[in-house]
Amino acid sequence: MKRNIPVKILRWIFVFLLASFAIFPIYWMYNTSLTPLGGLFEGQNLIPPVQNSLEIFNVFFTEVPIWRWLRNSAVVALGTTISSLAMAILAAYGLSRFRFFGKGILGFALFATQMLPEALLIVPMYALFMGLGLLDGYTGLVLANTAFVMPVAVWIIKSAMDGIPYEIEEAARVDGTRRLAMLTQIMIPLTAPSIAAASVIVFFDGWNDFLFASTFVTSSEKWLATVGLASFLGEFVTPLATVFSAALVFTIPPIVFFLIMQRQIISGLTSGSVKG
Amino acid sequence: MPKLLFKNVSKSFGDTLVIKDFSAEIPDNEFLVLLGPSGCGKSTMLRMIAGLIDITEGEIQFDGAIVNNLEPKKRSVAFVFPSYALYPHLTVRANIAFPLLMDVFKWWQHIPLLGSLKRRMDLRNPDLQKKVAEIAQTMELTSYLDRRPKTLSGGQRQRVALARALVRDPSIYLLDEPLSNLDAKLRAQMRVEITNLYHRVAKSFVYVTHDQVEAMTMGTRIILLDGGVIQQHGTPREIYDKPANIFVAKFIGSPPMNLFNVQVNDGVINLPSGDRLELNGQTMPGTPSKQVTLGIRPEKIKESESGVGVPVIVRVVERLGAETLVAFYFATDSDDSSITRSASSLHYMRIPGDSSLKSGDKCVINFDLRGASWFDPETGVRL
Repeated sequence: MKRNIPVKILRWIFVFLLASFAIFPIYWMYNTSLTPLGGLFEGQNLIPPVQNSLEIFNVFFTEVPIWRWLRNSAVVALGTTISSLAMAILAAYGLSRFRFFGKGILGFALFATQMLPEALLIVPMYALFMGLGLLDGYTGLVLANTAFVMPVAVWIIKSAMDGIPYEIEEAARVDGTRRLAMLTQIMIPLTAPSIAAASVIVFFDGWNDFLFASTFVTSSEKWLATVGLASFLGEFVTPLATVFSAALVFTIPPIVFFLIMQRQIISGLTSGSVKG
Repeated sequence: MPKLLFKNVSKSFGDTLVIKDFSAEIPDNEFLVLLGPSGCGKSTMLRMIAGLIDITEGEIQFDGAIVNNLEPKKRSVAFVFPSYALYPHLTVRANIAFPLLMDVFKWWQHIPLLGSLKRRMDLRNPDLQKKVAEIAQTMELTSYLDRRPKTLSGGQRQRVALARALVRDPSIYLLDEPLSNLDAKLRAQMRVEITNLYHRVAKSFVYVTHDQVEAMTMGTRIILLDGGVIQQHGTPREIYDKPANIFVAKFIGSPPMNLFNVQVNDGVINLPSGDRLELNGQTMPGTPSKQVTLGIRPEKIKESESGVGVPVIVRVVERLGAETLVAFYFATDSDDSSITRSASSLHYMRIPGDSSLKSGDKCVINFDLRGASWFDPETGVRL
């Protein structure tokens, strides 16, 4: 037991170092947000001046419509997550379990969507959305984001479904399960960890969207947080403290979403083989 | 308890014909074993009975009604899979109750959370609880009802799979190599449990296996398949005593039936080694003086007490306790001195366990030709 103590200490140091790498940028955002603009160029203190913090955050929350931006971002991110997962689960099940003409090409075509940069398609999409009346609204943003991120979710979920033995489905058929119930009662619970992982990726994609949000949405009251953050960048002055305060607040919802999903992902990793 | 009828059933996967013209009639309450080597189409046959795969040609009838296009559930069958196919995300209780839960499944249960809430409510239904409890007690699973399948041993999982089959009270039980994942001791125990279950529920069972011991000990009727074609259909005794062809003779029995290409002239059998055997009043079917294949079970060969008979050399002695298996070759065989003689060219006899024979010994043996089998060496068919 005594020999284990140095190993444990070393392990903790290693974990602490790794965690520091991940946490330090967030801490530095916090630090920067509390440092007056002039002070930033004179070298920051590792510990920020606390007395300014309330004042700075008060100004930030009253003068900047951050809550509205965050709500808009949440609508788009959750919309993207729900629509992507709903389609991705059905597509993944079809690709994993059915035999049909062109299955291989379809699978490749889904991958091919990831080869094209979003910027390349933004002009034709703009024209299309203009025709459909989807500009300056959240539906267009949800659709655009879904189109680009859904294939990733399809492949993640399809790989998980491929690993589930056919026999479990056959057993369910004999037990009187219909096709849709097979999906909702057997396949989705068994692939829940992968669906949770896919949902994190999809949510982050919707939350972080800037290109579509800045192109398709023009009314400032419909801005997403990403566009709102970018609006601080002035031609002559950039209020760094405000930008970093907003950025700090902007990172909280995805972290909360990840923490909710994390339990599901971890439980999946430890649940062992699906084989009965 | 339906009568099973197969009428010219065929199954192809693409260009590969897996089952060829399978016809058989199985009376009520039989324990039918589909036996055969790997890839002979026996599991495909079972899946066709269950309705899990379509039939390419022919008909399957349950009590005179064609079931070709019926969904698995409507066939009133239960299926036990080789890997048990339990639902890993459900407790043992929910696994056993699953077929009953599906009977009361509503469309809105597809909605996440609502579905699991309804399932929990259904599981609290007193009738369902009573039924699950009864079956769990029968299968000795009462103390595991709230556990997940991954926490159970192989034998316990197998019992959960059987309990799930029992809960629906099906007309036919279909079991696809259910013991293949168990160790030898547990296999023997589960063999007894399944046979007990068969007698208790008194329903038709169709059991797929490649293990002839399971087939012989459990089945009331065996269909032996090879290459998708029925080789023989009969009771275990018939198949053992009167194999329909050389394939059956070699497949059934451990060690298998000894086969000798012989010529019979004037009541004397000329063995390929040059030794001669008297027919001793036994009759040989077929044309005399023509080459035939003589089949003799190992227990029909004995060590001669009088020293009169066919001289052989012992190659391998396997002592099994109550009996001893002896692999031998004819002393007069011209190429018998080779140490590299393959196992397939050896012959076997089953003698009492107290025999003192050992490898390399010379001894004299006698053949008991009562119940011997005779085959056409060209077609392999029983004469």
